Amino acid sequence: MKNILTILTGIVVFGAACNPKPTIIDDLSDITFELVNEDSTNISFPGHFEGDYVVMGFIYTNCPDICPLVTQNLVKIQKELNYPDDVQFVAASFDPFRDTPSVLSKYKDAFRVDKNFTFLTGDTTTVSAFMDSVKVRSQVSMTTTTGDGKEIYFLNHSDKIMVLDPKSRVVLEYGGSMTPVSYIVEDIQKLRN
Amino acid sequence: MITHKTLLVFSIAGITWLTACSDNQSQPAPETKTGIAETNRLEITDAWSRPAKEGMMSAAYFLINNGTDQADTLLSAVSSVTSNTQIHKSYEKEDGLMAMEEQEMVIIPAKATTEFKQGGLHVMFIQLEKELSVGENLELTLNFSSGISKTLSVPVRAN
Repeated sequence: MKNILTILTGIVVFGAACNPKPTIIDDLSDITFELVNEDSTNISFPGHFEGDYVVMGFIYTNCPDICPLVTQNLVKIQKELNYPDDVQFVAASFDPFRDTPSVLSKYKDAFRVDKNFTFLTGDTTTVSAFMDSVKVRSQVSMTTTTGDGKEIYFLNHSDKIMVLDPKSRVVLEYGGSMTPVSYIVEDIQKLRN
Repeated sequence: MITHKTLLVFSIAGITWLTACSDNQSQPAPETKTGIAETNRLEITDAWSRPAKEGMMSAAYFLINNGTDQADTLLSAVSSVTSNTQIHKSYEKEDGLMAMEEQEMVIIPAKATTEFKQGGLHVMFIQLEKELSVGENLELTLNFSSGISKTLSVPVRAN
């Protein structure tokens, strides 16, 4: 009887350890960035999404390989979570000079994303400050000339998907392109339970 | 009074729960798959490309199975969707940033499979001259140093 009691105690103690409060990586609740979405609607980040979880990736639309993979991973996470109403999906551009709302709208169309999926950009100063605050870096890496003689540049950049809780606190971070979607989905489900 | 036996039971219960608690967040992504080609020819398989609007970027991915006894070299790629088709490789730099580098050539070892995949080697379509829609096919020609040219019909699909 005493041993059974001991086992039960162990289960309670370690069971509590099994569902700890998520570690707060960063608290974004006390800052605001005035951004715009793909429809040119003003979005105050993160306040606009407060009350929902936010799964957020960082992209630029002239990126042919890594950023589409990040975007596709966001799409897959949303699908595997069965399009939950309490989780918002956001792809934020770190190349606001080229990624205007209309460009983001075109990019969004190509991915056929569902509701609760927002693309964000803004003026270069605000986006730069925003990227600093979420520790996303980018730098011009190489240029190439297009068929019509125009020069375009590519960026080296951070590869990141992060998850905010309903209080706008960053609670999960991943490599955005290479982390298996199933891992991220599992972690988000644990958070929401 | 806690006996040794009780402590043992308690410890086992704890270890069991801690094991169950361990998350897999830090597990690495699967390694690149490579293997020996199954035929004695050079073949391109599993090709696909990502949908994108006109004026935007896309890429093609595939496997090059070199079943011959000779290494070959991929020298260039030409596509039906843009005059600017390049061979690139994505990689992670030491500072943690993702980077991309144009490849003037790619060695294709004998009796091996070389993988062009997301986050690695890829053929890049710069500023598409037409939209790539799911269900369509584009034409892609790969030119090798051996003189072999392989023209593929690459399906466009969401990954």
